[in-house]
Amino acid sequence: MRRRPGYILRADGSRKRKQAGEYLMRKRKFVLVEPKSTHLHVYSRYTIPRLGVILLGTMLRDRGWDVKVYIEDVSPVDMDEVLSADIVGVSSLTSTAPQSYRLGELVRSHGIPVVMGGTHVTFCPDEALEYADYVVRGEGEEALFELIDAMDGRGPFENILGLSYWKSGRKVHNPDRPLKEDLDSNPIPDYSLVEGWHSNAIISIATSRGCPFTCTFCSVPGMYGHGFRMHSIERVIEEIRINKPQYIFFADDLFTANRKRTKDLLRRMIEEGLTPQWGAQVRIETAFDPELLALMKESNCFNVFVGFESINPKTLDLFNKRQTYEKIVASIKKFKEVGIRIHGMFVVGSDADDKETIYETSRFAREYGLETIQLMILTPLPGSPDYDQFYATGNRELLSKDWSLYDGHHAVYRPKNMTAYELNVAAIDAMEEFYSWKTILQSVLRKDIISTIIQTSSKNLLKAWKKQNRDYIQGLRDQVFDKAKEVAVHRDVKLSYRIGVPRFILDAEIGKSLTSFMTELGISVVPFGGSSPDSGGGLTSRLDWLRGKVDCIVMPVMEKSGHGQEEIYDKIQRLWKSLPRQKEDLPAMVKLFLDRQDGSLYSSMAQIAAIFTKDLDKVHKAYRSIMPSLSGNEVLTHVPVESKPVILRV
Amino acid sequence: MALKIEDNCISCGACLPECPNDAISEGDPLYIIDPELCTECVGFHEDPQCAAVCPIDECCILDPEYKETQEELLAKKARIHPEG
Repeated sequence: MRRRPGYILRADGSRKRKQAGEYLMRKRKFVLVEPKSTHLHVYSRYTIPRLGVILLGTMLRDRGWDVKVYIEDVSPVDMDEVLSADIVGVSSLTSTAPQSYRLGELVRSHGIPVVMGGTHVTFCPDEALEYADYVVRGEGEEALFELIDAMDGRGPFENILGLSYWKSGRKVHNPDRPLKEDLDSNPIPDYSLVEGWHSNAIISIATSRGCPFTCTFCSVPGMYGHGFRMHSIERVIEEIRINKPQYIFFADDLFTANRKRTKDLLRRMIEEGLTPQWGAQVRIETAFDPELLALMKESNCFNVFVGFESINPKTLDLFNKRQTYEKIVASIKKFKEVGIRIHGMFVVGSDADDKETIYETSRFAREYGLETIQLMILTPLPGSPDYDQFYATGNRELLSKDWSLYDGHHAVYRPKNMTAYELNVAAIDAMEEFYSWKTILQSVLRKDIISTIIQTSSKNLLKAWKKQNRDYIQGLRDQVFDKAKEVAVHRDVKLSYRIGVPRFILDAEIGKSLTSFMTELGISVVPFGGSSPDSGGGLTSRLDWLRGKVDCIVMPVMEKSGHGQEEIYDKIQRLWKSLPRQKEDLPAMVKLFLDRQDGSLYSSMAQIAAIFTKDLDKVHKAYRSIMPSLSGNEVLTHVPVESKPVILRV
Repeated sequence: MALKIEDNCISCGACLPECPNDAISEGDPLYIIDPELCTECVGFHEDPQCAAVCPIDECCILDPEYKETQEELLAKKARIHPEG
């Protein structure tokens, strides 16, 4: 364990040696920090506070600690306070992890012990321990106090469930801690501990933890479990009474998971006359219970954050969302009938989505008059089933490991039916289409002042986002066009609109799709080599023959030899082995990834097409025309490529 | 009429503690209602409580194979809870 520093840091950076008595007299100080995201995001302008640091701060204060709580979205972190703490606690989401780590590193360099907690570090404790002395995985309200006892020499670290820590230079991960059952034993989070807190802000109140559903993109069940643990209604009422909020965000992952209990809560709120405006995350089923809906309205529900997730039925299935397009539409009508505003939450970029799905989602939201929306890009969050299945296993590749990009506004993987660049641009553009002057004007005409304000600020936010992220988007675009650049550098003659493809690839199913894709774009395919790759000099002479005749050579890549694909796999390996060492004066080579589980096939086809055209919409259209044939492809048998996505026009 | 749990059940277990007759059990993979024990909550609650807490739409539904009158349900309740 680290010793507490023998000095007190003054505001000017100088250090004052502690007097002997100061170790004993002074209350010990615990500073908790919830860093903010470095990127603009959908909630940048409306801070919905996360409760972890407030709750833990309240518990620490109740046990005699001098506590400071910083939520960076609320007010800047005072580093003098942080560096004068005895212990610093840092909470982290995936998108705020880099900030948390930077802070952790800095605090540790001053000899102050750092404890990290939150969803991200729960699932990445090894990574987090590089920047922290202790990581509390899962729910922290019990582990933290056991940890403090152990740090004070009262009890061993070994017994603290959910703790990860350093022991003799090695990382140790104690077993997981069971989820906390008796939520009411926690104190009511005291918002006054939050530096810079103002009483008219949005108050988060959690009435439950956990979600019984298993959506593939979500890390909530991984963190809080499938069981639904509830605060007593009495306790929630007390929390509302104490905070006197103007607006409550019920921070439950699914506020209506137990409708009977939600109704009881709302009835009590009405009886007690505690009906500030409120909003909560719900599923569409909420709208089909007339009694619940009536109680929501009567208790002053202002808006619902509805997890529609997608208007593409195939995507809903891929997400394991267990809802249908038809019911989404029906639920919107029901919410509208009682006059509850809808914040539509959508996740775009599944393997069944394409660009058109994203724009269609925006059109859908406008058509049905949703007040606000978020189109989040599917993001492999550690702790989600998606991450475990595809990314932790290495089956799919992450384009970036910069966690700050994992905020739902950046494409960090290759989707199946579009490039990451197109996905990112479409998600932002489609949101801009929603937050258009037309939408805003409609709100004005409805005299819906709040929607007008939120929509206008969202419009401005998107503009600012584009400016802030120009380089990232350009980087994604460059990946699509990097072969085009290479060809442009090397070529001294005009494009011939021909590509060289190994004959044995053209003989396979994928060859037919590739040919029709290229034909659609006005590009001819020139076969080279025999039905089987030649060895050594044979190929060199064939490649020499291609010089000047084609603009690039397509080189197939297969990473694994799947069942029934041994022959083509073998041919591809031999082709690569027989490549001549000297490639300088040969046409540019473009890899065509055949068997990756992600969208590498589309990305490589788009890369080839981008040599000949800048119009990616045209490329996308050509791809859509061959999608049905790809689903039955022999080479890609184990890749369940969906046929043309179903786009619903209503 | 007894209730039954449809195959859209997500096995969340919310219904389990609500049943006054302990008619629900954790099956594999879905939860099951024992029609011999289900009284549609007659005599205890106005509505069947499993359906009231279920987060899924149209999951706990009336089982057309077990049609019973109000009297029959009350008799069933009396049989299950002889103490009253």
